[in-house]
Amino acid sequence: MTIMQQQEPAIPNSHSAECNAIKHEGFHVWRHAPDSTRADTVQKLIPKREEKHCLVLQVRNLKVEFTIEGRRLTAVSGTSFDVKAGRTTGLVGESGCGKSASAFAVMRLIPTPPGEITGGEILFKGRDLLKIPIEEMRLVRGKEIAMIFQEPMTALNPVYTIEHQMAEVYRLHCKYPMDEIRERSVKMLERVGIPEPQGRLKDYPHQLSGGQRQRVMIAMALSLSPCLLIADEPTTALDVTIQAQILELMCRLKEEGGMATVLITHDLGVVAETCDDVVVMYAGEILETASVYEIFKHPLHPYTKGLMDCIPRMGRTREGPLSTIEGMVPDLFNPPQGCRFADRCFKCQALCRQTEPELKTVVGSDKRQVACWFPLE
Amino acid sequence: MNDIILTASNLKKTFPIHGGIFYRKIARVNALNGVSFSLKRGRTLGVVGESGCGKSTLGKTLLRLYEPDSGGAVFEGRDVFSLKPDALLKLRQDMQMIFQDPYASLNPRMTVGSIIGEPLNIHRIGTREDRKKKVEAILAIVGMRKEALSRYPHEFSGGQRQRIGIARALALRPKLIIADEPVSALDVSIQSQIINLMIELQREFGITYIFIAHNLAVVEYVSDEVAVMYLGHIVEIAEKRALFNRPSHPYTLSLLSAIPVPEPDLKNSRERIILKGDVPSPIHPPSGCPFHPRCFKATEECRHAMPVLDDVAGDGALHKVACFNR
Ligand SMILES: Nc1ncnc2c1ncn2[C@@H]1O[C@H](COP(=O)(O)OP(=O)(O)OP(=O)(O)O)[C@@H](O)[C@H]1O
Ligand SMILES: Nc1ncnc2c1ncn2[C@@H]1O[C@H](COP(=O)(O)OP(=O)(O)OP(=O)(O)O)[C@@H](O)[C@H]1O
Ligand code: SF4
Ligand SMILES: [Mg+2]
Ligand SMILES: [Mg+2]
Repeated sequence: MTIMQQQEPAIPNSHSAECNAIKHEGFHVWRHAPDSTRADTVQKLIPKREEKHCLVLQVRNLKVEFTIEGRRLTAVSGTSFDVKAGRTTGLVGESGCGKSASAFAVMRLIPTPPGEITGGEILFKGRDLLKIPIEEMRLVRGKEIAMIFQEPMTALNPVYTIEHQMAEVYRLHCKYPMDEIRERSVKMLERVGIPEPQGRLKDYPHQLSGGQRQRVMIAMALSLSPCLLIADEPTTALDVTIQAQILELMCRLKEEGGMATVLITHDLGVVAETCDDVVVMYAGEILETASVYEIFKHPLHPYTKGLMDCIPRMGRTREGPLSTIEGMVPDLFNPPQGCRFADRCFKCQALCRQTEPELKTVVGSDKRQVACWFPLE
Repeated sequence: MNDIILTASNLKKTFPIHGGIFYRKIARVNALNGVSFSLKRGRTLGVVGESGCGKSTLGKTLLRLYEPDSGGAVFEGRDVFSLKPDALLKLRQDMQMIFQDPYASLNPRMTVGSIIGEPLNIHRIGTREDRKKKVEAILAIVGMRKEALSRYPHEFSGGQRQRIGIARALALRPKLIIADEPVSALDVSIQSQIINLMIELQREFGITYIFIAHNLAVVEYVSDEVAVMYLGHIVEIAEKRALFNRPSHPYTLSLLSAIPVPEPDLKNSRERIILKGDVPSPIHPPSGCPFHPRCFKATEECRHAMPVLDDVAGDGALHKVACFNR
């Protein structure tokens, strides 16, 4: 594991050199800032290999709530995490724990009403996205921060062709002529492994298979070389060979262009192979953060441990049922007073039900954090 | 227990492709190119394969959500493709599908309670009270709270929506469930819970499953037999142990080598079969063996002739493969 230095410089907005990709031949050509007058500052910011991990995104005390029939559901209750340039942060956790809500919040796409961001800061290259006007946010979306949505049909419009929807991404941000847009769209579809893309441009989303839709969305997200990519279950509908191809593509963008990635997934095999850091969420809160090696080898939170024990592995026989974590998530309308995992935890004691444990840096570790009164040894 | 519940023979399905300024039909997508198999009652057939190879189309065709171009299917002695509307309704009571894209398959204007209860209403099962109880029970089974019943699908997370779709399919206790990626949006704990439930229901009620999934560890666990599809063909079909222990088709081999392993230490030390060449197009499928442009074992013969699904010699269990160079 690479050890991170104590103070990581947030990238000031005007010097986004490291993250600034040059749009040329699709998205795979990356260079540092072209402007030679900025060379000095750029030099300082283009770091040597391990210093490279400057913070692209800092989420601070983020709170997202939904109001349903007059009652408040807290989907995200005060989470904080960082995403560094050139690194992939995995966001894992129970279904419904607020992973997509966090991602939507960063994009400022929480449907309002019923949803609302009720607190916190989302610092993107040092600038709070929650404070900028919505018109400006539209320009950030797609170009600087792109998102691959969990369910392609929520993001693709059923009444427009694939061509139209892909072109829209370009039209919004750059002034390419029509045939160039078309050419770029075809190239992008090729790169995500869609066979005969020309023949597919006139298709409507319902004419594509689940995995093809997902790849169209990936192509749209990557088409403008974003410097932060939020990928919400990007490969669930893909077979493992195409999945490997897409993950490799994302990996290359990360290594060559310093793209920062937030990868939300339930597939812990994918986490192991592609993530550098892992954030574990449960019922709207972060329970543990660690490097990918630490989290697999030595989970500290009982929930993380339970999750690891549930991973389906090859070569299992059907002797007994698969392991599960007994019980149900707490009611998010009325979250419990103590630890949210208490009801299902094998280490639970009286203290856990009285007082909620805070997310704290583990003594003797560099950056690891855990929110548990009795973490595993 | 080994009677056959469903046979599909030589199913073919194509879709028109449109283009040009007049939106004319310019080509056809060959989604299914002659798929045949038979399914034993109370067992599970896993279906894996390349994205876009026709798995969902196969499921939807068997349910007659699509009409095939040719080929037949017999479900419990009924010829699926010649059923009249009322018989078809009855068929869909016995045969249910869990759809791949939960968002697209749940009616956004209906509450979760009415979505799950809908099949019970259509088929007029039990009294109103019975149905209500049944819906509540089934929701608990898929691990969701009762409060969900009066809410709408868009108010839920991806995995919660997937569970609503599963609950709806289970409500009627059908004889055959075609589950299209039923657990892909679920965290591993709930995933295990749902799989345990499906297996339990199978033991208790003899439900048969066609289980379409990309997660091979899950497929290995739930299936009795596994079919590997490529470009609208079944290229290998075998009893589970035979397939995972003695994979024969080059595509199956590359698939197995690409499974992500949940051990970060191993990530750089694994050997993968990287497929070369472009993903073939179902619009202009290659000549000969559909896999030959990407196959690492391909020979001259493969370019011209189409291998048929044939028994693997010396394998006691069911094991058929369509390859010249196995
Ligand atoms: N539009 C909405 N209206 C009301 N509640 C919502 C809405 N969207 C999400 N929620 C609720 O917020 C909580 C968090 O949802 P979110 O989609 O972030 O979960 P998730 O972690 O992405 O889960 P999954 O892994 O299943 O996708 C859930 O309990 C969900 O029911
Ligand atoms: N309604 C439709 N109109 C036109 N083409 C279609 C339609 N439905 C599917 N196809 C095409 O048929 C082929 C097979 O699609 P299908 O959805 O069966 O794939 P799949 O195996 O389920 O893939 P995935 O794993 O990605 O879901 C694809 O090339 C797809 O584009
Ligand atoms: S038949 Fe030939 S081309 Fe097809 S898979 Fe076998 S070896 Fe490869
Ligand atoms: Mg989600
Ligand atoms: Mg499908």
